[in-house]
Amino acid sequence: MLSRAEFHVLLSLLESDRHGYGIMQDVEGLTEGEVRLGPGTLYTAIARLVRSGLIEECAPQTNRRRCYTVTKKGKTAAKEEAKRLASLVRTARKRGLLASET
Amino acid sequence: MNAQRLYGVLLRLYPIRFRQQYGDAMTDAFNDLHRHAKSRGPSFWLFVASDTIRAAAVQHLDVWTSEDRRVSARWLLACTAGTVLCNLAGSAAMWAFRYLYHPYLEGTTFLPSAYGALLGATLGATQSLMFARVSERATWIGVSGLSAAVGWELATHTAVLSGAIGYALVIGATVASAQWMALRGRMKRPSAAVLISAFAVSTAAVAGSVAVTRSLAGLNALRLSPSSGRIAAEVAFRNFYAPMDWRQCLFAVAATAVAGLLLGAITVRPASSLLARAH
Repeated sequence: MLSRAEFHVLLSLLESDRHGYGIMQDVEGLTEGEVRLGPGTLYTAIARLVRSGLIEECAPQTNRRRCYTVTKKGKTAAKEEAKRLASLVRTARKRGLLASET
Repeated sequence: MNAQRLYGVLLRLYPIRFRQQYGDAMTDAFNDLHRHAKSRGPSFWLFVASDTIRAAAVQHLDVWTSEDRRVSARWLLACTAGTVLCNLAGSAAMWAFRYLYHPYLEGTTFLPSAYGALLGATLGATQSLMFARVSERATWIGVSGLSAAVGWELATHTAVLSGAIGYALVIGATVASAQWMALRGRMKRPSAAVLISAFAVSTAAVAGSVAVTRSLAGLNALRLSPSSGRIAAEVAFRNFYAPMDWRQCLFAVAATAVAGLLLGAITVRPASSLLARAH
């Protein structure tokens, strides 16, 4: 199971390859400011994702900064996590925790 | 102090290997964050500090639970077994000396250097199991034994002036110096191993000295080490050594196992990172 920060990093990299600060900005924008990753949380997530083979380093784009790209395994893991979360939401709806989809 | 330098100080909270791998990238990310932040006041630094503390704690936990776990477990086991064996070897040597004692031997002493060599080599032998190469193992055992022998001899003669703490320090320093010389060139950073060993052997020195005092108590013909009576830890350790029945024996083994486990726990972090690099 992925942590919240790891899932957000994967979601960010699904769109395009990014460097650290690029991911931080994208996640903040994607979640409308709800999730704000600091450098420590971000690189802790990156280190774990690299170790699990879900993302990997790619060649720097414009400057010397290390950028990351999602691997095939990472895409599969992100899909699985999204399915798991969707299933949880469906269960929560059944119990009336969330309003039904209209 | 500017923001980047202050963040550099915060970065030191992370484990060294993580810092080496991601420190520069994190500093870049921090610089961007700082440059584009709407507010750079207390709320910004509160966010950065809480992020650092949380992430550093996770990283330190990762060191224990990920790739170093097996190395850590083996190191704890090596230190525990080493300390227990030290106790058993020291006690066995003392019992043998008492058993074989004859009035003809009156005036003889159990040489501190022989005792030091025995304990140093015993602890060194269990710790050396962590090393991959046979030559490294042999070096570690040989250097631990020889330096502990020299250290014990030196400490016994200087203890009148230096007292109990000095006694342990002299042994620790002797072993540390010898091991540093042996490991220099073999490892990138031998200082970590040397510090671990100095601490381990100093601890064994105090415990061993108490064992000598306890085992030889009452044998007036034997000259005791002048330092033995000065060791403050004696009171705490007194009942752990020279057990008189199997219950006391079990208690002694359990107590020294706990002491070894503590010794391993204190030194496991630098030992793990050093041995992981060595492997």
